[in-house]
Amino acid sequence: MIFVIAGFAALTAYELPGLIKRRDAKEIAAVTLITAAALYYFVCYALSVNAWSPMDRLVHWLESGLGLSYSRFG
Amino acid sequence: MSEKKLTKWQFISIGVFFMMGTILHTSFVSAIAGRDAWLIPIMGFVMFLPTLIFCWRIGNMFPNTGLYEINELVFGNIGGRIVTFLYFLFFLNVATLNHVEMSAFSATYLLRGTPIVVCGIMIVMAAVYAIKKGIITVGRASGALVILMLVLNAISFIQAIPQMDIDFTAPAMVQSPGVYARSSHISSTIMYGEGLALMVFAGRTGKKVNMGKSMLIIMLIAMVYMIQIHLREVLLLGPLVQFTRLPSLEAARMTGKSDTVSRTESIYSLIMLLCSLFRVLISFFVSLSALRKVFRLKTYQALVVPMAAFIAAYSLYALESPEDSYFYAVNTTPFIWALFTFVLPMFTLVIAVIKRKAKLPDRGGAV
Repeated sequence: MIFVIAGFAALTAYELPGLIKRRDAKEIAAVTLITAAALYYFVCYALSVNAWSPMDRLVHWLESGLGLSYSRFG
Repeated sequence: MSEKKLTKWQFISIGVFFMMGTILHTSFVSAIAGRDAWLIPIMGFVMFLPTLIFCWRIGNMFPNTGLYEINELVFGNIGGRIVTFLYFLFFLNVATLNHVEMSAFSATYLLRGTPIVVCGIMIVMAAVYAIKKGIITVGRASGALVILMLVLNAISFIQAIPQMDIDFTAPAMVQSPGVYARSSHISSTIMYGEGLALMVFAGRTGKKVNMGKSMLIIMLIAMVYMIQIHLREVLLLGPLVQFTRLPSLEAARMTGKSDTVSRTESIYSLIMLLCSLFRVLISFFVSLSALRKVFRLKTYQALVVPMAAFIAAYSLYALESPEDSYFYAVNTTPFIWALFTFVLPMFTLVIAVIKRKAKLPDRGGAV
């Protein structure tokens, strides 16, 4: 997993010269945000701990909270 | 990236190839409808008609304009970005869940013993390579690939004819109406609904491309393709079709003679792999385009690798397991997907029509 994280970090770093050259604050913000989110999931996976997933929360909330699921009908 | 526009047939081939990626999802419908699964693509198509009407009307109102640009024209600068962000969340989850399905398929059936995370990373790396090379270039190549896939599919269908049993389809249409409503809902939102991603390509098409007509042709071809896939599964597997996770592949295995890995199975695995890779690729690309619009970036190139890393990582946690992905796809996901494939497009269309009528006296109908 360390190799996976290092691999993606290297690939992301590959984009760095272009990012620095363009000096586009919005682009840097977007890349930082996505990279941080990706690292969060990779680190959680490497440490074998649960991570927060919006999709998982949404389906559970729809199912148990709103009852919006076909599983209710058997 | 090439600035050349997509022709009508190039756009249709991208669409058909994308829709062929539903091959990994046939169990969502067959698990519910069983022997009548082959009729569900027709019912799903009927349920998808309102979204097709949206594509047709909005395509005529804003010719050669992509879905995200339409959002800005209809809802304004801020509103458009909010709606585009909602589409980003939708397409990101579509890409992730398709990626989960494909990784599970690769790790379970093709590369046994390989950790699912390794398969997942290989898939996103293929997607990164394709997007870096230019999605339009990939799209142009899809024409030849679609023909190849259809030929391979026809070969495996013909090979399977001796083992087919027509009695497996009888009695037809005798299950409770709820079964047909539920499976049609799944078909219209997941199978057809994800095809809304193709509207993003409208801005990259040539002037002669009529979005509504092209989408109708794509969905009709997809319907015939899905009927054929389901029919093949039902005729070969019979009642077992309801209990199989990947009925298409199991059906291909049944047609194999005695070899562990028969030729038919290999061909079918190849079809499934390529089609689902294309589905991941397109949904990845459209989520990337949405993010570009939200952040107002000149190019999405810098986002490709971080987004690929995110999809590979998020797919490990999006749902607890690939089995959960299947469970929610037949129970809860159709309700969420309906918000993006039916409610949001209809809302956009209504607002666009109202705005157009409001502007009619001053601008002679032009939006």
